[in-house]
Amino acid sequence: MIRLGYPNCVSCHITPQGGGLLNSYGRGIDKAQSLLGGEYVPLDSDWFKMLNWNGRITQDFRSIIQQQDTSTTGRAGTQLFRSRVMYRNATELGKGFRFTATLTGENQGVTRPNVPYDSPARQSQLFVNTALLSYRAKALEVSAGRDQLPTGLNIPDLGAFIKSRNHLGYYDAPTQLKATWWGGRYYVSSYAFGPGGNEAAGHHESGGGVLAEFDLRGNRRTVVGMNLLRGTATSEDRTQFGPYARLGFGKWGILAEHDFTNRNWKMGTPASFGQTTSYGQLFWAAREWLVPSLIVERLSVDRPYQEHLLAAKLEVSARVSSYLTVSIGPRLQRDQLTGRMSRSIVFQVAMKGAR
Amino acid sequence: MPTNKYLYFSMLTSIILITVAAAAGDNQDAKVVEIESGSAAFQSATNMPGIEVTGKTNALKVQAEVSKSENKLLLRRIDASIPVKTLSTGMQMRDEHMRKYIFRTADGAEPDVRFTSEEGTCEAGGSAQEFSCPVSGSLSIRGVLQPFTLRLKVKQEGSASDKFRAIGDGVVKLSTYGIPAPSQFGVKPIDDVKIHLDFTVKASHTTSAAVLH
Repeated sequence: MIRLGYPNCVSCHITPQGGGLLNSYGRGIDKAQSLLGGEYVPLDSDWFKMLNWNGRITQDFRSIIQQQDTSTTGRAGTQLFRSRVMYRNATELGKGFRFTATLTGENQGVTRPNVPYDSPARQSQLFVNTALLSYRAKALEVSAGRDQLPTGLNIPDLGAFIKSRNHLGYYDAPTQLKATWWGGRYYVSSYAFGPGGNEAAGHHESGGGVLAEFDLRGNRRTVVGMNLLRGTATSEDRTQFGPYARLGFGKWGILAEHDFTNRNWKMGTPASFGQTTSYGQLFWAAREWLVPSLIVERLSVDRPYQEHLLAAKLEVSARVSSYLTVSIGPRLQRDQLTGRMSRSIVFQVAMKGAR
Repeated sequence: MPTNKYLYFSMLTSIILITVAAAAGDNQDAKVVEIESGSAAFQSATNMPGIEVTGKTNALKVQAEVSKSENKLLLRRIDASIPVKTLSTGMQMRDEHMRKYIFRTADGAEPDVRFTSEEGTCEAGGSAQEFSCPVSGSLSIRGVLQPFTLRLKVKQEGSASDKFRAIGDGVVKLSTYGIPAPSQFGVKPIDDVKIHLDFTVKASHTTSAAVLH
């Protein structure tokens, strides 16, 4: 959306952090940017009014079906068919209070990579991603509950290194208290968090952070920001600092993030080491509904857990209607230490049910 | 006395010749300039802090007559227009809404946005080739004509060049044209719309000063 002059998620999403249900204006934009297009007209029947508590409840079902085939040099190929169904609800309770929830059911879990210094949160076939009680007053929102932590680039691919290596996987939903406020050229979110309950033993992390971004040129297309986070757990402390940028130029746009994390492993043989994850995406809106992207990723972990991975992905995403988006993305990944190549292709269909 | 008469006649002739020469120096021939390239953009804030609508067109047409005195640039018969169908916000649906709610007349026509001015005087700016001027004229939107002032900064590209680059800014109030601000699910543009012009014009031919003045 950055290419269209939407500098953050507040305009179109119910929660300022974005990534969830759309508000009425966002639904209009969503529909307008699809192949079928057309005007968004809210349903207005008595039956619908009863279902949505006279407009207080916004809810939908979202289904994501994903087929991923991977082949790696010297290893057997793998196939993964993953189907997820999400129920999303935002209920206005009055006087500025809102309850937001996302519940996911799935056939096949995908956890973060299990590396020696960081065990992933436990998966669950029925998972509460979000359960937040929020209070909004104009351009300030305070929320308490469980949710994904604020992050620079809110990309949906939680398998990307900037997500999967920084506790932002599918099953990371820490308990948190966050305050978000925004203006024409800025957006700030400060947060304190504790364990979500499904962390592996020793990884029940607590901490806090602040995310701040600013529209550099005031044209709503040149946003740069920084996320600072400090987390401590029995097994490990981590300090992360991640600059990011969202830039739009006509039909083109760039999303970029580079996270530096200093990890202090406290179990067994203690070790302090650095980790960097990088993400760069160049996208082109060939049509409003058809967006090819070139994505480049990098992961580097210092000794004693040394890892150096490079990856490139070509993704084409087509928003057929406001209810249906399909995408295909071949990806290449090279292990710089072993020279091993992994090739994968992901085909995804995302559907939204009646709202 | 014949000597005095000759001296008197010589002096009078000299004064007339000097005056004519000075007048000729002040009134150079005017050049008719036409657009070589240019764009017009608008920026409209809304009642929501995160939402702003911007649009642009490269189909700006400009014609004017330009003459230069020592430290002034005289603009005459300025005519600038934009076909509204060329204005793009980057989103087709938003473009359709803009044309429908802002530019379309009751009978379904979409007349060009047009600015005309009979005359404008630009004072020298930072350097010998730079000028700045408020150009007062009329702006027509949706066929409604209203007084409008455009602040222009003009730069001659080289002292003997026929090419001028101009950058102009102005603010259009929708209410002045009787245009109610359209609302889309509670998101409404504010009354003031900033416009920005950036164009280069080049002399197409010269018109004698006598014809112009």
